[in-house]
Amino acid sequence: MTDPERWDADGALETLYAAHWRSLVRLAALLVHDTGTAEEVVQDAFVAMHGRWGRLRDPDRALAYLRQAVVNRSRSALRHRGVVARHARAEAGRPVVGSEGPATGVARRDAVRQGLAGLTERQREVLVLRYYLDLSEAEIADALGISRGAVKSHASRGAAGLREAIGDWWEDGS
Amino acid sequence: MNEPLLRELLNEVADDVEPTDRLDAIRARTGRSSRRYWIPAGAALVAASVVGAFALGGGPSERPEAPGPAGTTIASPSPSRPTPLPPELRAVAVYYVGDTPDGPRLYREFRRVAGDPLTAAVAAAVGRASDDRPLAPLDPDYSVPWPPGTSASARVVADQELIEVSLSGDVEGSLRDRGPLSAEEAGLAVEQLVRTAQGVVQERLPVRFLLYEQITDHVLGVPTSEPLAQGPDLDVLARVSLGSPSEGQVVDNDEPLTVSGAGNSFEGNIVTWLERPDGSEVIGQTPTIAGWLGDRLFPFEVDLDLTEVSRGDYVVLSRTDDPSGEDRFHVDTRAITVVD
Repeated sequence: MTDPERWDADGALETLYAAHWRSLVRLAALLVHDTGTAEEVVQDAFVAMHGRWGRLRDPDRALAYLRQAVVNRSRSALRHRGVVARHARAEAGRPVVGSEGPATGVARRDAVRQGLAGLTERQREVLVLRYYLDLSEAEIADALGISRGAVKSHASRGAAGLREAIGDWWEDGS
Repeated sequence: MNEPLLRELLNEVADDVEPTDRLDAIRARTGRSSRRYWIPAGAALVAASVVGAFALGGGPSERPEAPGPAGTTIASPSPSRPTPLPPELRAVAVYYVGDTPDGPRLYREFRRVAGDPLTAAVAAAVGRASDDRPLAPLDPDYSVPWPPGTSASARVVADQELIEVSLSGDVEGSLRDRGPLSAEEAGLAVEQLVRTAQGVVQERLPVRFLLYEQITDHVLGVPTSEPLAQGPDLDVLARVSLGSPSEGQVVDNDEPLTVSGAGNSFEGNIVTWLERPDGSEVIGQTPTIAGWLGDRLFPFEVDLDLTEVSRGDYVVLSRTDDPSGEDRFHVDTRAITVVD
C-alpha cells in the first residue's frame, strides 16, 4: 500500500476514500446544496473512479478525476431536480433581510448557501473550485473545459452575485 | 473581489457539512461486499477492526486472505505478484440497466473482454471481469443490478440448442430470491444475461439458468424452471441506446464524429447533439430517422461535423421524440473528449 504504483483498484479506492471522502463531499455540498445528494454524487464518483483505475493508475490523476466527476455529477444531480433548483434561485433572488443583523454564523452560512444556489452553474463551480479547492485559474479552465478568460469572468460575476445575495454579511466578516 | 472573505465564506459553509461514512456502500458497488463476508469464520471476531485499519491505509499484511467467490484467492497487491500479460481482447455487447422516464430499462454497451467471450460477457453483465475482479459499466449512467459478489459463466449446449448460464457467488442472501431488488429490476437483471448471452452467440437460443451448478426454479425471484426466451424489446430496452462513440472516447475534430445506435421513437425521429458538460449546446440537434412501426429497435447513424468544435470535454446525446408533450424522452449519453 505504500507504493502507489502497486495499488490495485480496490487499494486505490480505500486510500483515496480515507484521504478525500470528506473534502469531496464538502465540495459537492457547495455545488448541490444538500448533504445527502452530495454524498450520493461522491459515492458515484468513487465507484466510477474504481472502474477506471486501470486507466488512471496514479493517485494524483485519480484525485483530479474524482474532482471532475464530482463537479460533473453535481451538475447532473442539479438538473435532475431542476424544479427544485429553480425554486432555490427564486428564493435566492429575494434580498436577505438582516432583521436580526449579522449575528450568528448559522444565518451567514444560510445566506451564503442561498447565494450560491442563486448563481449560474458555471459561476458557482468556478467560485467553489477557486476559493474552496484553491485551484488556479489554469487548473479550473482545464477541469471545466473552458478558457482562462471565461474562468475570470465567471469568477468576478459569481463573486458579485454572491455579494449582492448575502448583503450585510459580505463586509461584516464576523 | 474580496478573496480572503470568499475563501472564508465558502470554507465556513463547507465545514458545516459532516459526511456520513459510505465506504461499505461504495465497496458493495465496486463488486466487493464489505470484507466482513470474506473473512474466514475463525477470524470473524476481528473483522470490524481489520476493516477499520485497512481503510486508514494499513499495509497489505493486514489484509485478510480468504477464498473469493469462485474459489480463487483475492488478488492482493503483493510486490512479488507478476504483471499479467495482456490477454487477447474481443469486443462483446453487454446489457446494463439504466434509467428512462418509463423506469429502468436495458442499454447495450460494447466492451472489450478477455477469455471465452460468452463467459466474459455474462460475467461483465453481473459486474465481474474474467479474472473475477469487479468490472463496472463504462458509462456511469448504467448500473449492474446483481448482488455484489455474483459470478456468472455460460456455455452453449449444442445438442440441446440452448445456452446455459451458471450463477454462483459469495453473495449476501440468495440469488434465488430477488432480495432488495424490485420485481422490475430483478426481471431486467435476468433479461440482461439472456440478451447478453444471445448477443455473443448471435442466435436467440433459449437460456437455461443454473444456480450453484443446479437447475433452479427461480433466479432473483424470476421463474426459471424452463429455459427463457428474451422479452419484448419495447418492454425491456431503452428506446435509444448508443453504440458509438464509447464512453470516454477521444476524438479528433478533423474527422466527422459518427454517432450510431439503435432506437425506436415517435415517427422514427431521433435527435442527436453535442453539449458541453455544462449543458450549453455546441452542435445543434441533428435529426435522423430510425424506424418506429414495429416493436423493436432500429439502427440509426448520424455524422457530426466537429471542425468548429474546440478541444475539450463534451457530451453526445441522442434522444427520442415524445408527441405527448410530457417530455418523456429516452436519452442515451456518452462523454467524449475532442482533441485538435
